Amino acid sequence: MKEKFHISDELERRRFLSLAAKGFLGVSILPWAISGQSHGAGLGLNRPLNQAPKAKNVIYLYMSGGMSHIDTFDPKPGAETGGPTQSIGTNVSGIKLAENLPLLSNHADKIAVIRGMSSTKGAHQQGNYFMHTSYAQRATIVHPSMGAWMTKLDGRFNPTLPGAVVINGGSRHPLSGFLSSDHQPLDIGNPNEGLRNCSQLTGLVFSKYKKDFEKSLNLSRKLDRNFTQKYDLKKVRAYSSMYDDAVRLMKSQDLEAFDLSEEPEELRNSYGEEDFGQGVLLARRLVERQVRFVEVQLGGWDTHQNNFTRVPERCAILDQALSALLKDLSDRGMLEETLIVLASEFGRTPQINTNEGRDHYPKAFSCMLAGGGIKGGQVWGKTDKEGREVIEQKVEIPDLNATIAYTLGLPLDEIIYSPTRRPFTLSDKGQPITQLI
Amino acid sequence: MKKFISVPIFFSILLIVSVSAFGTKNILSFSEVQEEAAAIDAILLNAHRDRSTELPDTLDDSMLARRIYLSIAGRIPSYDEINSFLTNQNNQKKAYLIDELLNSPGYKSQMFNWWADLLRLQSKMRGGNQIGAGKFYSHWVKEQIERNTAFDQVAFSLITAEGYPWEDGASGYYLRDAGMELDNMSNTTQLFLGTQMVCAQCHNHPFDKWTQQEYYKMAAFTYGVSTKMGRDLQNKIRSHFAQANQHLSPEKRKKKAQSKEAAGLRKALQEMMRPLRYGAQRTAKKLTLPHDYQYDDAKPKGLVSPAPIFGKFIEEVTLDNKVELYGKWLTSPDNPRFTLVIANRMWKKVFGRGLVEPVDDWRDNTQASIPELLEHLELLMVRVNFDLKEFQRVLFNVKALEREATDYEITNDEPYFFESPVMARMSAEQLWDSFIALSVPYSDERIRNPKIIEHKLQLFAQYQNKLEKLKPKVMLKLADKAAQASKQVLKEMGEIQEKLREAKEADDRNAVSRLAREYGKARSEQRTLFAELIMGSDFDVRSLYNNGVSGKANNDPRWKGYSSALMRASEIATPAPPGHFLREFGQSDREIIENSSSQASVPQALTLLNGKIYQAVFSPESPLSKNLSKSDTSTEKVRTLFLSLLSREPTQEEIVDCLEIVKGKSSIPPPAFKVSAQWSKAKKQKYLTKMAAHKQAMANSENRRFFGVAWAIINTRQFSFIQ
Repeated sequence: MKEKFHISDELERRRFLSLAAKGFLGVSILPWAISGQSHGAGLGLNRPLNQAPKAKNVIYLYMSGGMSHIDTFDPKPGAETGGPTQSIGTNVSGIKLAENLPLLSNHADKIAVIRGMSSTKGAHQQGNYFMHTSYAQRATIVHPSMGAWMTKLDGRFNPTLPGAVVINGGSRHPLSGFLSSDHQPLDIGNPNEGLRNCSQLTGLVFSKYKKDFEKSLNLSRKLDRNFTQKYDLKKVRAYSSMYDDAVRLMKSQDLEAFDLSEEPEELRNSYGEEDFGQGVLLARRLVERQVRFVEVQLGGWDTHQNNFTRVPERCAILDQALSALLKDLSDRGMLEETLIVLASEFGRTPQINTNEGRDHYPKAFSCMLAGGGIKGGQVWGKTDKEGREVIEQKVEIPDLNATIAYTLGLPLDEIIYSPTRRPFTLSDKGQPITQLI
Repeated sequence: MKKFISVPIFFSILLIVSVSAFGTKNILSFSEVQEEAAAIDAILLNAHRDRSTELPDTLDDSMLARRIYLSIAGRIPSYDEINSFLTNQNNQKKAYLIDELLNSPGYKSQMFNWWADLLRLQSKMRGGNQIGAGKFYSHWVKEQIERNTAFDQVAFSLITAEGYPWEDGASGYYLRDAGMELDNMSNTTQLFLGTQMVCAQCHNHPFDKWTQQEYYKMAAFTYGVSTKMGRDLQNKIRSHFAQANQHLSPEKRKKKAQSKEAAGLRKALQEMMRPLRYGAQRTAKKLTLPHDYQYDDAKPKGLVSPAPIFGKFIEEVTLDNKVELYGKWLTSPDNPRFTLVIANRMWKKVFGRGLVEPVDDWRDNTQASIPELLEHLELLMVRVNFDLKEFQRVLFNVKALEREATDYEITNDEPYFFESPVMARMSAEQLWDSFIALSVPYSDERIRNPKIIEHKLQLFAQYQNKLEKLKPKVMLKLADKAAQASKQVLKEMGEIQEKLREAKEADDRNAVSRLAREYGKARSEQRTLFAELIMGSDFDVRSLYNNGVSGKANNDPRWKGYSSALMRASEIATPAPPGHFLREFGQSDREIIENSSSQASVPQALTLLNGKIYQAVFSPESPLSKNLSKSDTSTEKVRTLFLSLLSREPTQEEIVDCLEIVKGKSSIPPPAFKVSAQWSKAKKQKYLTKMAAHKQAMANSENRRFFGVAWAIINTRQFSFIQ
């Protein structure tokens, strides 16, 4: 980081104090712990709370469309269902990945592959929603996604940058769900353009005189006073708080986080030139400035046709970006405090269809965790010879999310009520896999 | 489009055709509309009396006009429009405004957005993208809106679509879900029957009653509709080959088929038939249950016979009539949900919320918040013959629409009784179209030249006609010729591809983009070569394959100098590209039915604070600037801004607040022109031109002093929310 003073530096200090309190004294100065709410009173699950969490931030890579497990993290060479995909060895003996991930194989010591994922949601929308929220999609409520839960339960560390960011998330992302809009993850389309419209309309609307902007903004508030009093509604207030955030952001020194051109050309290229790779690099820059949760999506995994040409194409992008991220984070000493998650809504059918494709398959698939205190070089769970059934250590989607929350030290049993007074917890009834840590 | 036979006889007696003041045929007369609206008022009155609902205040004319303009024309009223409404003394001016707007181009544009969200219209579609099928589909939808085709007929045409996209644009309904016949069915039930079946595709529905068996039985009606076309042509060629090679021994036949020449010929034939490969074609393909079917009511891989999920059973289904029978069952007023669902959707469109919510997840025990009203709306929908314009015409005349939007939180699980419309943020399209109206004159009329897409339709039809008439022998000859002639360009294409691969590996981005361009050029050369061989050298190949947005703006002098990007949402690509203003504000990505959102976000606030759109709104040529120039005092300018942006007069206090931030001195009045009689004509002319420019520049700089105020108004909640 630059010499310049960053608000995030100050936050870093405060964060350290808070973590120290949590770790050494067994207490926390964070609001959820002193709010007086009894944990899990209504659930009776008594799930563990990680007293010394290493992970502070999350980079969440989402493979949209359903990533074929057999052609990525759970290869089945030789089996009929394995198709032409071969497996390759890695830098950890005994762990094999599909040949489509050659670069990642050099980092196997840093990752935990979860091969026993299992879900019941076989349609994109439902599966995607389930993975993001741990709840089945309902027409009457939108549940919060992980990033929003995180800022709700553990606060934002950088007051000017958003607590959570979603890059290329599509228009149906659950974002903050029923939580108030100040937990809304910031949704960015193109990582190269970063955050657009951050500088004032000097010349067109305002003169160089700095107070012009403030004056107009004040006028705007003044003109709106009656309206906002009369319509004191959640959706109106949401805009007012977005405006406050936007204005704060415009003034933030940490805004440069969104400017990828500050990175050395070589490093930029190492992440890959596609939007995804650049998005992953942006994610690193953001977590560096204490943005808690950054999700980057890579689409195109819905390989009903030509699975064996399309998956390698997707993998090339993923492989490059993920490997670069692992290397970059460990070079910077940030891997311990940054949890990397790789997830997808479901796997793909072991059976290869007539179009050389694979269809939706929620029954068995793979995800991956790395950093943030996760023990690298391990495989959790197992599918049968053909990749059809989970035969060992089955992991349901809420369990995966509970594991993510556990690494961060989030209280799994804390109940949050929706505006309609329905009780919800982060990751529903999921049980964390503490063995991974 | 197919002929549509329906309308139950007992209802058609009610059908009264009248002619409105605007010359188009309306089903209801002016007074009948008022009677129908009054009937709804009465039902609502009862509902409110029973529950002692407190009624909000009545909107003033300003906010009423703003609401009506936004709902019907899809944008805020212009300065002139709001002035004329406010000064109009006629006590039926609201009803007249509604009728006028329903017949305006703004209404059509707005309805296109509504349809696009429902049908998931995409300019670049899943199936048939190479030939621009998405554009044909959108064009077809626009035609239906233009003709005001009844809703049930549109639904029927979509379900029964058949042929190439240029023959029947509705074939886009199937091409949109190409290769996903099962999903297509659950989209149909969600869209037209408000019924969610998607879960039952893989297993019995966990929350509703649908079984997987029922899902498959419904899907069996349209399962045979294939999006792959041109099989007849291929078969023709195939049998020709078989005949021609009859005399050869099997080995020789095989050898010939594997020869380089044969491969080239096959490739050439494929290329010739490429435009004729996508559409909707009925086939005998049969649906079977999945191999892992887990229930006792049938065997895995068992053959599925079609049956509807509810309503009247469809008798005597044959391969030939099943799609038609399905379409009729679906759209019949006897269908237990079809009419209710569209009536409820239209109610939501006008009042911001359905009597039944969610609008697309009806169950057996679903109850409307005001059941009598829903029953009444069902009858009304049938009475107006599924004419959505006429239906909305009645709803807009309902008294409750004249009241201030609800000022308390409405939650999803509590019923709402519609004392007034629900407070809502403008949709992405309403916001964008309002900015366009502030930036471009006659913006509602600024559409893409329809001649361009019509020309494209013609070209494809010609191509099809020609190719289908060719005798196999001639076709082979042409293919042979084409294969020979394209050898060079194909070789070139291969080489470019090779280089492209290398450049990509070396990460030479300049080379990649240059090579990609070269490849595109070679590809178009190859296509031209083929098309010219078949169609003759004067054939307009470019328009056939043109993949850009179909057609520029009309070459109309009214929009000379205005960027072609400044068109209403319905006239740019659907959906707008990611990152576009429309997408930022929640325009649907058109992946899922009704996928638009009006959730707040930081980028939205940043766009309204600092976005590019201001360059257009504050350009000297924008209607806003021009109206601002016309007002000659500071107070008058503030007034103009309030009327143009908020559709209302400012209060005295607001004027004072605004003038406080306007700085600099007024340069009004401008210096008088002094033209001497002794001057030569040329000199006089020169002087006048100079002075005009001077005056304009002064007006512009005068306006600029007020942009800070305009900006402040645009950034209020009252600008983007509809009261």
